[in-house]
Amino acid sequence: MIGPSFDAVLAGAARGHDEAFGILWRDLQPGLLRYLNALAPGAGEDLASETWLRVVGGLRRFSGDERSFRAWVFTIARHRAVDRARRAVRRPDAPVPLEALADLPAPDDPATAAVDAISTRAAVALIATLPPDQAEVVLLRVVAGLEVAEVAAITGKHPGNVRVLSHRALRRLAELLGAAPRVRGGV
Amino acid sequence: MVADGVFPPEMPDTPYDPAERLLGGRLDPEDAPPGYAEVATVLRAAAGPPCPDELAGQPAALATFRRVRHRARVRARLVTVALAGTLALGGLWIVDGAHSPLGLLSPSGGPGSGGPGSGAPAGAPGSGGAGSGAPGSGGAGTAPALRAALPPVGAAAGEGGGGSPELPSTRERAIARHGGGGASRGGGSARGVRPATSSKGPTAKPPKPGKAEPGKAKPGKAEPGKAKPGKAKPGKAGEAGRGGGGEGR
Repeated sequence: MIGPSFDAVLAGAARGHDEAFGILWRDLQPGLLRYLNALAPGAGEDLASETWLRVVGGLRRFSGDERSFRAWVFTIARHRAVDRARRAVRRPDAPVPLEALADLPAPDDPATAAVDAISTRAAVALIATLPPDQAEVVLLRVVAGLEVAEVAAITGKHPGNVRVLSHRALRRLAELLGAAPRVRGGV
Repeated sequence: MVADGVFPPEMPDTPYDPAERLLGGRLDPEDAPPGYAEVATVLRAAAGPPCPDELAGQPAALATFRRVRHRARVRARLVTVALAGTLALGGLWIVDGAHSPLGLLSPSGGPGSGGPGSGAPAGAPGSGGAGSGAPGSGGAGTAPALRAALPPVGAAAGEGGGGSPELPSTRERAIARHGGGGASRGGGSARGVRPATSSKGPTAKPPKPGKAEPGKAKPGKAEPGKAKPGKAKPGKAGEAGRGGGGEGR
């Protein structure tokens, strides 16, 4: 989060200042990539670029605080991912990206058991193994740092539904980690 | 295994809710409920600081940002130039009294507005410096749509028929060209003028000559380009109506 200087940063970016835009980008890009890579494995970079194009185009029209801005950016990102998924349905022969498979945790992987601290990428990949709606809710809560109401607005769900999904996701994560003793020991 | 009921779905959304604290990254793995320490670790890792490869695209993103902003600026300039050109063409159209493509008539050339020939009414008693011709001579003649679209002339008519410094230059030129110092702009003169009492219109006295400005209408004469305003007192917009034509609207 940028904090109290967010308004000045946003105004500067809207006026076209590179440095201000860089601050916004550095603050949001990692979360965007993690979120988008979970939604559309292997396409996170492209979708993030499309998202930023939209964000730059709408910077002047945006008004709101930092939380609203984050919610807005992730809403755009989600729309990009949904559009891509629709295109993929129309062209189902899209190849599965190998890097997405490489990030998936393997219970019998010695390397996974060896690490003391789980990497960010592996953690996101583990969350991505959840059912899609649960994974999305958890990523928006954890990675994007959004509240239940904001996640509900982005995903078009009822806040209570978002809460239920996140609780189920936590339970499922605990089961996954509990079912993998070596991973569990490593974590 | 994880015990059921640790995170019941109907759990209230409070900061003390373990699930909310987990998701918000505010719960240490040591403080997590049994079986959820690993989950807390995973969630913390997922929200961890950015990796270098995640920020590797910053130069490209900044380049894109500059390109998009540059395009937006160029587009804004183009729009400005196009708007200015449109306004300039519109001004020329008004000055020249040409027919518009939409069939509207320019205020200077419209039937009943006097046009170049309205200099004679301008010289009629009562028209005076306002030079708007006979009462109502021009107001009805100007295309209503055009009149509505044009900005009000304000007190121009009352200030001696084109002698007002508030007149736009294009209109001033048009008035001077068609003679009578606003005689041809009977309709235009009436525009924006404060409504005068109709009873005073016909009985208005001819304005006194004086305070004439060079190049302005002269009362009684509709010599093009030599309009001499009479009674050119600023802020006497109401007198335009009395001067003639002011009540055309």
